[in-house]
Amino acid sequence: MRKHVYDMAVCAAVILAAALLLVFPLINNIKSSSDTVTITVNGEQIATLPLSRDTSFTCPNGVTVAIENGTARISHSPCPDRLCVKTGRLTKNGQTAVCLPCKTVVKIESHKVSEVDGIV
Amino acid sequence: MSDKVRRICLWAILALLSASLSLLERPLMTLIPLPLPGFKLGLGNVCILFCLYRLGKADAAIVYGLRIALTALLFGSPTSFALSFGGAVAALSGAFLAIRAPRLTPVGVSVTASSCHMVGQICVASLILKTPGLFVSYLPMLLILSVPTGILNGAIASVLISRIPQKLTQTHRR
Repeated sequence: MRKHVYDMAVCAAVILAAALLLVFPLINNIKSSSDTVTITVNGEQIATLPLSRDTSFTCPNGVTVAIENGTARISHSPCPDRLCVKTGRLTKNGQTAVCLPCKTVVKIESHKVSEVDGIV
Repeated sequence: MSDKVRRICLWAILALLSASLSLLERPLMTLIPLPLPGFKLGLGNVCILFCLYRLGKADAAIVYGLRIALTALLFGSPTSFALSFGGAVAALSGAFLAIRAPRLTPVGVSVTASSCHMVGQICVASLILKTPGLFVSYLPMLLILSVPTGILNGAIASVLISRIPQKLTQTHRR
């Protein structure tokens, strides 16, 4: 077994490289604080908030947007069916949550090149 | 028989053996439920390693080249050839460097070669498909798998390198 010490070192190095490659995108995501949430009411952009800071923003019409852990969601809305709240968390560039009765659109915008071409 | 002819015959035998092993292991791979396309045991590389240790670096490169040409012509496409070629260049580079390390056994050289092969293949694949994301999505898994396959091939090659009589690969008339 002693003659295989260096072989095992090579194996360890390869596995280490693989582990680093796995960790790399996780580190990358934390740094994407250039992502922003834009809130548009009646076609007018009323707010742009960074995804990196946890906050809660309430629009004049009563729609509340919560930013938590790098994601955004509509946490409260005065509309009758709350479909916008049920849309859930927005994580990726281009994702939107829309409240039609309140005419409000919450969208994630990013300077990063998106890994998907479109989000349905 | 002259040395040159002997050498050429050895190239042919090893290349054919390598290609056969390469092609025969493919149906075996479909039985194993790993969701990775392009993952192989690489048994054909045993011949390449044997050639590297017993004949030389240039001979190994030639045998490797012959093998990928054969495999690609018989059962491949331009894409598969490109992937194989990229993998081969990377693997040979790694192996040539590794064999100079005095404390590495064929197992270590084999693992170096197999991991370099994966890197080379992913480089080519990401260029062809224009998806650099492959490096983080596919490569880690391939690298981890390259270790056991490298060890397997290296172990088999080790036995062959030391047990097969020297006379069979002797190409210098002394």
